[in-house]
Amino acid sequence: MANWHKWLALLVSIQLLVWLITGFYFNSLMNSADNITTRQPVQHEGYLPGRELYPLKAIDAPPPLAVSVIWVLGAPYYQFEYNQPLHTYFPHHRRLFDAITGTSWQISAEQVATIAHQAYAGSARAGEPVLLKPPIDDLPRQQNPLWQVRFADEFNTAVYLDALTGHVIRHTNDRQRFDELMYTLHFIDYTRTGFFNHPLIIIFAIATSLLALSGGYLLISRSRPRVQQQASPCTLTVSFVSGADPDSLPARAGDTVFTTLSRHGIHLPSECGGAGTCGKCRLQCTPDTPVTDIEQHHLNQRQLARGIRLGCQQQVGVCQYIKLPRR
Amino acid sequence: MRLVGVQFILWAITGLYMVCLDIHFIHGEPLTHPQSVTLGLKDIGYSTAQLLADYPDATDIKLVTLLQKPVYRFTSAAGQRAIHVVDAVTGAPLDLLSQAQARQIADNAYTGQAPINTISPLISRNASGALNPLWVVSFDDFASSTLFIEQQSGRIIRRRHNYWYLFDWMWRLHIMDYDDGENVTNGWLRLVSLLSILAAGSGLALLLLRLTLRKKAAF
Repeated sequence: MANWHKWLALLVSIQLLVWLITGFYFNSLMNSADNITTRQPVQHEGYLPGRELYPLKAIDAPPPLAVSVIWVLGAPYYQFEYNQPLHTYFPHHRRLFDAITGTSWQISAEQVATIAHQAYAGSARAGEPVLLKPPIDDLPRQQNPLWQVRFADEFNTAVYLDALTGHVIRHTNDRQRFDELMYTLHFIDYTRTGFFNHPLIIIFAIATSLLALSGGYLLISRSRPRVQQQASPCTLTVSFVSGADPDSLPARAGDTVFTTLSRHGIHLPSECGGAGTCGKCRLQCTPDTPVTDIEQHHLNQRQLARGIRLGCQQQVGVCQYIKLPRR
Repeated sequence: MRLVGVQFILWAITGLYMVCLDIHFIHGEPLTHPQSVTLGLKDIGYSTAQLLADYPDATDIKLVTLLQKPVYRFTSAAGQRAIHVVDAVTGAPLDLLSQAQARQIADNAYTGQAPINTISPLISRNASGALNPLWVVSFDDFASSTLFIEQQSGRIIRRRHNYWYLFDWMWRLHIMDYDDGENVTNGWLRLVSLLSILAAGSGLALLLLRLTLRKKAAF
């Protein structure tokens, strides 16, 4: 378990850092409400009473599911709806008719420019309105065509408007785009679906959950004392290549050499704390000392033949004499 | 690390739940059929012009089908209610939705097979804080699917099932806001996410050390 936990961790660790940093960004640094200071509402409504509205029943169109009375720049229009999407970014099938004359209508580029100008409180010049088809870079969820009007200000503000009505759908600018980038990173949404239900993030979420649970399991299983065998006392004899006086350490059979040494203040190099994953707690035993699988993994044949073993793998009692480089 | 370890596991598990279940499913969108009855405009006896003569301040006017009949739905300050519904054939204003009508709307819209369990009234508040009476229709299915229908308009404004409530709790655990799940900027999350970044950063440093020092391990 320790081994595949390690390799899975390596795979997921980069994304884990990205999740943590972007999550911290959402929590502490992001302030979307202040992103766009040049947004202002547009007054489309006019005064209806007293106007002669064209009768709905006289309009020549296939029967709709619903009809809304909408306003554009002070004039009323009928919006015939042929589907009723649950979200505004879903495809919306509509036809528009002038509510005074009954003729088919849709917004012109000049009117789009007028509305975008009214919706923008800054002083920068507006570019020409452009009609975009989805997918639209700034609005990945949007499935309807939209008008785009760009403003040449320091934040590259863009205003998006409904293709048929010219109603403002959204403002965006570079600050907003940066927040969107953080979401893209958090949701691993590099194909820009605009959502967090795509296969890549699901794979990462499964891997991360396995990792977190196995890590928790390893943590608990390692902090619990090993199975208490009959703690019969025995000794571990330690000699030193450096020439220091050999030592006889009292120990309990069944404890690892690693824990016995650390109990007596001799700390072998280790990153994993005696779990058998780092392979650093090397020491020399007699060459006939049994070899564990983990030692096979970390040590080569020449080292094994010389009696090099891992302190965390050897039990006191089985291994009675060890040699260390220095005290 | 042990301090934030539990939250790591919670982030992983709650995140897994949220990415695996489609957000539109969680919002209960598949619980109801889309509206499919077209309007017979020839039957509209009460024109938009007459409507405006009777309700000069009407806004958000929409002609829709409600309980197999064409009606105008609009907002107006007239009378005791915010949203008005008027019969588009006769021009007669419609009362608040009765319990029986709510049952009919829910039954027609519901995509499942289960019978209705309960229909109870609920006084809710809308986004602007105004009181908004609802009918809460819950179905006897596995997920306890529930539709919230506005008494004033007859619209289904909320779709809930157990997966949604579970999602809501997953979200609260994910952002560590345990009371209402609305505050992503809470200090508790700030503390734990900072500690986590430190823990993960030190883990990364250890890993890099180990990868670069591995060759030097001689003995």
